[in-house]
Amino acid sequence: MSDKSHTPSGPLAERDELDALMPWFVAGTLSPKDRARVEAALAADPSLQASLRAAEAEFEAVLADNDARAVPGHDAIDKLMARIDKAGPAVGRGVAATMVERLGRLLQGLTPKTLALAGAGLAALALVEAGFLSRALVGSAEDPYHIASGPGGLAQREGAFVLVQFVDTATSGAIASYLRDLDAQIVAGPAAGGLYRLRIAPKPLSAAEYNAKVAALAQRRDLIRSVAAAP
Amino acid sequence: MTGAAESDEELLRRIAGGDRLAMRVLFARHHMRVHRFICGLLRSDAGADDVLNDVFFDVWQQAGRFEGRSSVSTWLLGMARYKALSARRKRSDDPLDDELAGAIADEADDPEVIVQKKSKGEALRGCLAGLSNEHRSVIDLVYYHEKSIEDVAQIMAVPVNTIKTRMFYARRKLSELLAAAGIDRGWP
Repeated sequence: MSDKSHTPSGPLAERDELDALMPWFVAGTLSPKDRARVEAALAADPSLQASLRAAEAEFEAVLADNDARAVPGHDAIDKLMARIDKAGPAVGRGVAATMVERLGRLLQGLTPKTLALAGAGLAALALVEAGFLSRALVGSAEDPYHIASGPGGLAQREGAFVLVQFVDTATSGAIASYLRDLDAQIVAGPAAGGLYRLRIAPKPLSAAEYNAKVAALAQRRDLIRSVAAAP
Repeated sequence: MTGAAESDEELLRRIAGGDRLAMRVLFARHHMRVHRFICGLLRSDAGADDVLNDVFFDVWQQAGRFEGRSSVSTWLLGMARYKALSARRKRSDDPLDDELAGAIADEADDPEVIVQKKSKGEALRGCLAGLSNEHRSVIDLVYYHEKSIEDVAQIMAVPVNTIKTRMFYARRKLSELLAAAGIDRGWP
């Protein structure tokens, strides 16, 4: 079932916007300005009372429905603390993962149409993010940091490349360590879908060497969700 | 006489320093509401405990990166939404973007079943399950989690006007579902 046809993206008409604001009015979370606006409209237009009554009924139904939902397992906190104990100190963790997640959320918030319209701007954003991520992941590598889109950037150099998606739980430290072991660098991304372009060798590889590298990447399922050949 | 409760922001500062007790307090304070939000997004309690664990494990790892641009609960719900939708995507093995997620609606009770429910309130609860994920999330965040328009926009990573539009059409959809069940709620 799709309701996309019921959610146009254009601005709401004045009356429709008042109907839209009614739930926040009932919940008491409107800004003072909007609250005064709704109160004035309710006083001036008795027909808005029906919208208010409907919102009050929605409020009660949503509270009842949420209260009826399952509760977490009684050992939820114990499982969390055991995982924390196993992971060790938190300091310095999650820098790159946070950026990946933020960009993922940003991309998630864009419709395909918006993505298409964003075009060049989004590409630039992705490359800037790739720059930060590359610095975070391989900043200590001998190869100096380059913006991927710049003249002579890594993305335009000779070499062998693949496209990868990292798993959501992969930490920056683990990814950086693995890329150092592999002598690989992130040269672009993330693109839509969380795809990154990796340079896995400074020069083109034979088919056998390339396939071996791809197979090795694919086996690291703790870090890499998917890997594909890239020109 | 006891002092004021420690703020969520202060707890996060302690967590960033490796304070396990602060982690337990923050979890106790928020886990129930976060879990219910996850259940709503997953349309089931199956897997909700795992997503909840992931959310708070990220809190442990990334507490130092909290920038205070929103409340801690808004930050938590934003993470929960992202992780719950990722879990759904992995479950179905299909790409799931925001628009597609918005198109996914639960197998709600059909109108015949809804009309048999005892009260209008129960019928309304049945119709809530017929909303898409995006519509249902807005409804939950406003009524149950008491989030402002700006907070909901931040959690769902869309503009404020989009949130208003979604709310308007979510309410309209509820009226349509009730009407299909033979119930006129007098609006719109």
